[in-house]
Amino acid sequence: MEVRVAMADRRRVNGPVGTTLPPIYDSPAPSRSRTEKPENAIRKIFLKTGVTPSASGSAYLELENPNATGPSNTSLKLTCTVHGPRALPRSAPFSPHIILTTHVKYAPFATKQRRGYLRDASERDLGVHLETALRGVIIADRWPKSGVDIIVTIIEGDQDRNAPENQHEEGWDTMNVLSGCITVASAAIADAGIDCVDTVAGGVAALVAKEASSPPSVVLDPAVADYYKIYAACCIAYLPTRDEVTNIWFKGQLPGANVTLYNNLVERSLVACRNANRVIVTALKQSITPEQEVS
Amino acid sequence: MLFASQSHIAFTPSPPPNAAPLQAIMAAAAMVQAQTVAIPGQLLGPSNKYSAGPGTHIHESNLYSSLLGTISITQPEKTPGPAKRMHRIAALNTPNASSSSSTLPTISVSPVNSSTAEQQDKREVLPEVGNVVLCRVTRITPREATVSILTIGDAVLSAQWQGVVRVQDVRATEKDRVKIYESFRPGDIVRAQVISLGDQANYYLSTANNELGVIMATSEAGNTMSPVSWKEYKDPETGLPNLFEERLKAPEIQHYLIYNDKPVGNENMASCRSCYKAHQWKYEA
Repeated sequence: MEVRVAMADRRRVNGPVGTTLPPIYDSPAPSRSRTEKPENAIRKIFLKTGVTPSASGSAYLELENPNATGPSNTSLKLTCTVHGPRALPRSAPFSPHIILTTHVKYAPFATKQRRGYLRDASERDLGVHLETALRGVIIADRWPKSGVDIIVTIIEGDQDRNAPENQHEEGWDTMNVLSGCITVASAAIADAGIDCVDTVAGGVAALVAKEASSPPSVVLDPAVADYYKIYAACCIAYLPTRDEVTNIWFKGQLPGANVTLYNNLVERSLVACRNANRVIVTALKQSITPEQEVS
Repeated sequence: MLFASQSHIAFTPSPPPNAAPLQAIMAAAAMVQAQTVAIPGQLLGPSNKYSAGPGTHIHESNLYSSLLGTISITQPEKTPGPAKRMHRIAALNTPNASSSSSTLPTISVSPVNSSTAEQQDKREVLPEVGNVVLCRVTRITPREATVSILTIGDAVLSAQWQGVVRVQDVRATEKDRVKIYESFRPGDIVRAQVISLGDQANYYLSTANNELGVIMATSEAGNTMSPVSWKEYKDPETGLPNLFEERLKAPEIQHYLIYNDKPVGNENMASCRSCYKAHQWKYEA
């Protein structure tokens, strides 16, 4: 898949296809002293709006990596720009409401597996999820005949660079990436001055086994590398004031098709959404009154 | 939705994190104007105490902010004494038209968000039906004049919005005798009113009003022309009137009444041949 995409892109000088990995040594890596998160906590989020001067609205989000071994102590870096509302192209048909377009793109160096310059299937999939999450929050008929482009660039994906190749490669990190995309896009839309019914926030809960022998348990905002196995995960876009869910993405197998476990996962991810929303509210208030520290 | 309602049962619904400033807003409502910040989704007050202004929306009979910005509450203008008789028919979309909402203070959220003035200019305004806009003529055809909208009221637009003045919207009377090429030329600055959101690409504009029309024009020689009659502009340097009999439609300020190059009517009042209204006669060429 990756090779085919890279071959299709003849306009740029493409880098080598495949992985870029730090060297792996025979001796076992020093055992990381895992700091246990409190049960109801998500990883720390850094969020700032108005970072791109040329865009109508923009935001930048970082997720802290509590078990960092490298010089950078982040595990996820996202930047979002909002262009518009602006006039639709002449070829577009009349629209009584705003036309929302979302683009999600990994930087070529964002993940262990290098990404091409063209969007691949997983990136388009993330874009569709993001559009669904945002469409429910924007008051679309306030802006007739106009369009808005929301572009999220993933500068660093939520992956452990030191993990050996072919371990945990099941795409669980894309759930964390999507929840970050929703949170950062929500802040950028508010910065752009587009009418919204609420601030939407993304959150993830997962059913994990911490060790090979431990029983499955539900955690918030799972850092994929910290767990032995992830059974299922749930990413939700949630409006806290309205108490509405605009997007839900459930992935994985629950043991014995347990409905209460399913409900439990959804409710836990709503807790993660509320936590993320608190960060959005604080960041937005800070952007209005920068001299006054809100915390 | 199903999950959202279930979560209500499972967790004691904590008060929304942005409920605290509400007291401040309520207290400030006593004042004529209050300034507090609001974020999208923040509760502003019940809809039977306030009427919704720009930047707000109503959900389940409560007013919520829909923008990031500062809250302002404006009290309705009180008319001294008994209400006067209406002298003129107010347009439907003027804010004071609805009499029921005028008794409530209007709450609105204005997006004066960023600290830099450069970013404040970027705030987008959309042309709405009834707005008076200034635009520049970009292209003319026998059926319509294409314009690009420059300002709406006082707001300068950054995005390009295209409008069209169709031949039947140029003038209120003698519509069948209007010729676009006698009324507009590319480069003219026109004051017009938005009459429709139009088709896929264009807003439909009208100049069929005394206040509307060409307000700045240049002649073929490149000089700025000045109005000589209610419907004519003239190049002051070449002195030529126009090649065209009635090239440009001037706004009402220049309701000069000329017939065969001579002013008509008596010293003070005269009847305009086009709009059939009496006008102050002010010939100052």
